[in-house]
Amino acid sequence: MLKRLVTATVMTVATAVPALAQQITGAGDTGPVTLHYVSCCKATYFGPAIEAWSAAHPDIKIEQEVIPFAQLNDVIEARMRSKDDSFDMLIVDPPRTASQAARGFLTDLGPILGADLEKTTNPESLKAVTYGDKLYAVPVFNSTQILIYNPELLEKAGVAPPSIDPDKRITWQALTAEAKEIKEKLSLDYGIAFSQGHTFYQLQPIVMSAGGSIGLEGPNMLTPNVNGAAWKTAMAWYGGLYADGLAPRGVPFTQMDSIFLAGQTPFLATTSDRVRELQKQGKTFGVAAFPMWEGGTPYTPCDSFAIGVNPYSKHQAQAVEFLKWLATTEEGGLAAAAESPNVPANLLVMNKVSQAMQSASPNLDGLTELIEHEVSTTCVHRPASVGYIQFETEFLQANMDIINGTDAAARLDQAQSQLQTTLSRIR
Amino acid sequence: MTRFARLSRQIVFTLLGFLAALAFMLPVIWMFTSSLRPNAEIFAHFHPLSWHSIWPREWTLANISGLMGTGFGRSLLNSLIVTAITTVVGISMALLAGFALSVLTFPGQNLLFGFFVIGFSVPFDAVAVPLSATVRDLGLTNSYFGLSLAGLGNGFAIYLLRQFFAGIPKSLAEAARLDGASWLRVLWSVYLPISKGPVIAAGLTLFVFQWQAYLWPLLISTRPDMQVGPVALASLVSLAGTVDFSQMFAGALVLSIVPAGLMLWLQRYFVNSVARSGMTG
Amino acid sequence: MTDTPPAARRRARLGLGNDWAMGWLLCAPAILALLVLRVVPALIALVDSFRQASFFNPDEKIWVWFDNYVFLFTQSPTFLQSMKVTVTFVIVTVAVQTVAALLLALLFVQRGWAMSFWRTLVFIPITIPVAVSAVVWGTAMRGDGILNAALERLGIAAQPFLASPDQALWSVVLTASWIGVGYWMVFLIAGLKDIPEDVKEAAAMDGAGALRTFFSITLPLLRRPLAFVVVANTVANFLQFVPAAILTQGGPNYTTRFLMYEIYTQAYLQGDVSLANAQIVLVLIVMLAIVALQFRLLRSNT
Repeated sequence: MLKRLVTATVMTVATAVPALAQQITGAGDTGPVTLHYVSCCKATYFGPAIEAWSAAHPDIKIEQEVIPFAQLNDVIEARMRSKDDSFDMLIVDPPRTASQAARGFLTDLGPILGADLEKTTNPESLKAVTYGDKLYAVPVFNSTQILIYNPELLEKAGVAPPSIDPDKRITWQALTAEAKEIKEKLSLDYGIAFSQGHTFYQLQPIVMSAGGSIGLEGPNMLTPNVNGAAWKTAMAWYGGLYADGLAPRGVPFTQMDSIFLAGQTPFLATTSDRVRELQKQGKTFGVAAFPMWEGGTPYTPCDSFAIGVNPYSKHQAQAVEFLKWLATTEEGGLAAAAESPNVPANLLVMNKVSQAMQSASPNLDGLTELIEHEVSTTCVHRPASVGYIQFETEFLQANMDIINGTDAAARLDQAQSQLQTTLSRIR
Repeated sequence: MTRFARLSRQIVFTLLGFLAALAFMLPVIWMFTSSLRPNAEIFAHFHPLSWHSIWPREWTLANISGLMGTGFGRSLLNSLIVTAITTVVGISMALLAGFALSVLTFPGQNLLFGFFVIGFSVPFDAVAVPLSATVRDLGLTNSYFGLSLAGLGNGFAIYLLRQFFAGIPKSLAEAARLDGASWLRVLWSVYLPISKGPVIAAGLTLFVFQWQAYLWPLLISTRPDMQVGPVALASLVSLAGTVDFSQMFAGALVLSIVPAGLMLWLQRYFVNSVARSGMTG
Repeated sequence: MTDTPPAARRRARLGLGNDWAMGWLLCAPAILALLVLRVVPALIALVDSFRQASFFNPDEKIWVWFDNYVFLFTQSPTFLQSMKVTVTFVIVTVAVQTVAALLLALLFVQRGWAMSFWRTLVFIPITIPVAVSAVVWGTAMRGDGILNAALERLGIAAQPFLASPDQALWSVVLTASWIGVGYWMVFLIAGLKDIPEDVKEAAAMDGAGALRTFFSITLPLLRRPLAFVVVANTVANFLQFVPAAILTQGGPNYTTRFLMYEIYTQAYLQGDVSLANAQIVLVLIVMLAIVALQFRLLRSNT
């Protein structure tokens, strides 16, 4: 099985992806070109970078096509299977790199961009889009999570704010107790909210901090391990937050920010880019380090969107030119971060963006150091497995069921056997 | 039965008919009014229930005009084009087949009729996944022709027309044939002019089915500018989380008004054709 | 339905008879459509269901014969569940719709004012795209939605509807029933109107009460339209996809994992096209059996 897998992988990668250095398409073209970019989620993620690029490079225009995240996987799946050459670049969600690269959906960019990227890009971000020693995308954004609190509510309830110092981070157990106390004292609707609480992205560091496995293991990363004792403890604790009414059940996760803004919860676990959003709303808030499990190791989630090159594109050289600008120049890095203050993967601008957020509010000392520390020290990537998409789909369903009140231990056992059979079909 | 008894029966039945209609129309009315009120108002009046949950304080067309400015207008246009193709091609196909199967005599016609009705009655979605791979290989993804395939073959349309034609006295066709008219001529100038009802009924069926198509467009149109209305509506919902209800309701309204309006206008043809098709014994 | 031999002979004498080339020519577009849109993809699915495509290179397939089917029935964590969900859904929905459609049909053949207008309004939901109905009902059934607001007004506690494994399927049944009842009602009204007046009058003369007339006269005479509605409705609901795709993603706890959603997920999320094709073959067998039954019903009553 394993042998077959390895042969198949090597064969596909060898046949589907031409050695880019020699065969890059569009090299030597001088006429004006329009690059098509299949993007995701919001036009503003990449809009400012595309505008800045287009202003300086009239010969290489870029048009982006924005697809909702929920449909991104299906759309890319369908378009790549039909060997669609109508677009040149595609957005890459780093944990899906292995699955997409193994099937020839992405171009190996190592030979042509590898050396440049190593100088300016966060090595952790590069690792997340590397599969089998090949670099399949250019990391644009990175991310990390923080704990945001409402200082007024904390003060009213007489609770000291949690620390922003990563070495003094609060534990989930202590935080839950405080959240409960504040909720009861001030008769608030909730005690804590998770802005991506349905995703593996936000849950993985909690489970791993409790001692749980990464989820997919084994020499080929296709052996699920989601029903160990630590997984069950952590997920039961998480489901319990919703069962006790401490976290908002039945409210879409897209609305967690609004719940915090409305003063309905004192704590919000969320990504660091929300700092800028809250500043825009003129809200007073404090930032603390992402909590850890009592007696466990601290972990934080990381990685965010990267851009890959379509192996069937006719303008690979021009796409590479744009990506190089984005990832290796300060100008490109700042343009990418203009509307989307996720942690930049571009090291030339990473701390500048953090500092800009830090200095925009009076009480955010330590934010820059916190972000820098988390993305280099506690960052945990999602499993780099060709079966990640299947894994994520199953986790999402199991997690939603646990949030809605299903027994965590039983549901995780079910997920484990589900994943075992599903992943056994990958060959 | 006395006059009074008859009258009171009629009053009771009218009342029941009205209540049944109201029950079925409530979600439609809610959709209609919600799409004509400001977004903030929709959310604010979900809960608790009051008169204003269903009746806006403030009426506005902004949701609908705002929606047309986005890609949704394009999706709606795509839906119209695709549905028009399906209806015209589908009805032509059904007319030719229904005519041949009922007016002409040729070996294998009963077998053929059986194949059509059975084959086309198997819902298209059942073969959508394997067919989508073929359509992709042929390069027909993101094309109007590719999209229109979903509703083309409709067993009900062929059955309806075949049954209607079979009920027309053969002497009409025979007279025209003796005058030297070709078969197509017979269909065009003898059969078609007296078949308005079943043709409209078959066309309506084709229209409504294609307008609803969801799975097939999801599989074969991957570009936003080739998206059809129902899929665009669904992505509007997942895109917005649940925040922008006004856009969602406006989209729902626009997508419903086209087929519902047609049906309100033409429903008697549909009802009469069903009644005369011999389908119900 | 078939031409009686004497008529055919008469037409043959008139020189209009055996026109087989023209007959097949006029049927050619429909034959082509039948081949391209049903037969060929079904055969592709059949052949493919005996093979397994490599996940890494879908063009590389090996013959596994019945392995995919064996996997579905013995190992697949979701296939049998999706069968159970689909069959439960179809049985309940068809039962609810048929009874409701019959009651409405009985009502709308009565005399009253504007009865055909009320009837048309009941019919409207079928014309609304399923995606729209799903989105609107889904919004109404939110935790803080208008349906719960109405329940609370009536003094009933708020219900989780789509969020609960115990209620999700029934919530979809409710939505699907709302959509389809008016459509099936039209067929039953046509059936009721076909019952000869004199039969009803004879029953009335015998002094039979309304209920007895219904059970001993109307219902037996309505047997065929009812059978048609049940069978055609089963076909219509068997491949339900939209509510799962838009509202529930098959959850919670797989309680709304309809077969068509299972197939879609296998093919496009899990990337396991061979397994999806094996499921499609099974679906096609079931569909063909039901549709053939429907065709027999149609043939036997002209």
